[in-house]
Amino acid sequence: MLKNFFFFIFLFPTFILGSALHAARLKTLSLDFRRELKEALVKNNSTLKGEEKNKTETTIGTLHYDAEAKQVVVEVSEPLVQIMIVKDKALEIYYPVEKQAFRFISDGKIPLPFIEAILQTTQPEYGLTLLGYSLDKHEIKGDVLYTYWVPPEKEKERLGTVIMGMRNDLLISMEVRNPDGNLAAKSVYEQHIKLGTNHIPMAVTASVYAPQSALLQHERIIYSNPRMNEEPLNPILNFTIPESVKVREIKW
Amino acid sequence: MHSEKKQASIAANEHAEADSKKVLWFFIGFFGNILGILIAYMYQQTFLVSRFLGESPEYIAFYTDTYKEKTRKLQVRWAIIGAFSPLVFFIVLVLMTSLFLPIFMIEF
Repeated sequence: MLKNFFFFIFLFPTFILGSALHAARLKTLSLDFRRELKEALVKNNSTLKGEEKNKTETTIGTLHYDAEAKQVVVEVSEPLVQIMIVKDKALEIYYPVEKQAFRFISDGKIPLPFIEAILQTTQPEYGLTLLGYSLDKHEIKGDVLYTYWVPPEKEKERLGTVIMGMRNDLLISMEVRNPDGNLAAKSVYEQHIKLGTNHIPMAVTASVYAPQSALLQHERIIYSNPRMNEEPLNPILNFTIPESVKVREIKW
Repeated sequence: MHSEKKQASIAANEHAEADSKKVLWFFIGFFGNILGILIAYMYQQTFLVSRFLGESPEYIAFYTDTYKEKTRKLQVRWAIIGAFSPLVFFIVLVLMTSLFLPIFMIEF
């Protein structure tokens, strides 16, 4: 659940956009992003020097989703040029400058739930009901409505409560608790823009916590320039690794 | 380059520690015994793809190898602990009995 939540946060606007544009028959969707990441685990490691401890990693790129092919392509432009392609049970990573490539092949689905999340957008409550969650209770604090969602009975040993915060019908926060009730992940959604009938957060701040609620990772992602059903089709969606490049294949 | 490998190694080790479900592997070893240990050796913990975002090929190669090795080591270690814990418990019980039973009997 924690892993799923991470990409859920990262690509949240993508599937919200998918939801917003569902009526318009979404074929492709592209979204620029800027992600600033601080990893607390590495930061806290005593073997690293001072400058390495305080490093914030910034990644800039574009996400592309092809609804028909059920494929996601992440095009990174900074700090290096990198193309990640996720389709079915395979993840391919290509470095055009270094001419190197990886292919991860998984027995099961590669854990990139945003693909499923995009498809889930036709479902109410951001796909929580589809995952088997049910509304437990709600409370109002100030101008924010908090709804508490509990996992299905058979999953209660593995999953915890999800708490969604809404202000003026806009999702502004989401908390995921582990089965012990400790905080597992939290995200804050800001700078909503209106697209069609929906409001999309273009800034997401997310924190992921260890089982005892120690901070593992903190990131801020700014999304911009949403583009739907681009014509002509962005060639990156038909990208394949050149045959001349030796691909390191890793079974996972 | 050296620093990058060091970063990848540290991150992979720490992520493996955080991702590994030690209690689960303990019970798999406890109930599965040798079969549980075998499962622990063969099972590959999945990873977060987002960890590779913006990372160099060297980082990914080193991270992948280290992460696989570390998760397998942890899984097997906890499955072994689980598998042998009944034996350890039995030995401790026998020792305690042999030590304290005579004292208990003398008192009576």
